[in-house]
Amino acid sequence: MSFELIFYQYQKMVYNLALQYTQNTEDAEEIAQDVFVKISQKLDGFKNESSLKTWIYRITINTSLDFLKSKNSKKRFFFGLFRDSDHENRQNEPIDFNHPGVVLEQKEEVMKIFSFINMLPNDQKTAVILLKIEGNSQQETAEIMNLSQKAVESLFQRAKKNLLQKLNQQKEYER
Amino acid sequence: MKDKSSKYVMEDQLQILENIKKVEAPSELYAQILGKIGDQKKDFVSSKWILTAAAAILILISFNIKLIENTEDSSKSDFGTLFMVKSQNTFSYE
Repeated sequence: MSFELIFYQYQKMVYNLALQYTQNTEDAEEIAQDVFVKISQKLDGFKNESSLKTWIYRITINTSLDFLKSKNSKKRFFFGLFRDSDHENRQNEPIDFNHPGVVLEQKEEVMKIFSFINMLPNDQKTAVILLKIEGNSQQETAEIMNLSQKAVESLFQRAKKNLLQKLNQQKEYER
Repeated sequence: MKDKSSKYVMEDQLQILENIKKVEAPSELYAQILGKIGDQKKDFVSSKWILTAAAAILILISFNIKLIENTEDSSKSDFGTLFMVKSQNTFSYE
């Protein structure tokens, strides 16, 4: 399969997945570029141990997480200069929220839930994104994450518990 | 009761995520990727050049080692002469 064909078949999937991680079009575009550069470099070495779609999913997830890690460490350095009590919360707030897939009426609510999702550990965040936003089945998610279905279910339940805890914390804070 | 309402809120919030629509990737994405791939190829140094550079560094290092060894030999011989002179002096005291 040629690189061009792969690009046109998977560009939408890669861009949207990157968008769920970053909630920002510019960042998602940068990640999508990096993903396809990596694909072009590694395509010859791709062994059909997993499907092409799963392989591309994994590259996109890893690239997105690396991108966020480096972005957050830059942010941490900047906010470290002006550290205060709200530091941790501010770090995960999608300040530059720009998600074209979110309808305007739900923007506030989605922004709030994304700010909590961004605080989750990477594996829980990935489970929520793949299952709830990307609409993958538990089996597909397990294959992409290279885990058992039970492990994915447990990750998702833990993510839900953590999100609920954060929601309640915010409710109490608002009172 | 509180748990029930919290659960309801959580499920509701997660349902909202299912409403996020898929969007099209930017039209200029492919051209940008080809540009990036091209830039990386330009920056790429061929293995031939890497081998030549490694060989040159190796030759330089071995040349330096030889040079240091020769210098050490000559300083050793100076020291030997000095020692001999000293021992001769000791002998003369006896």
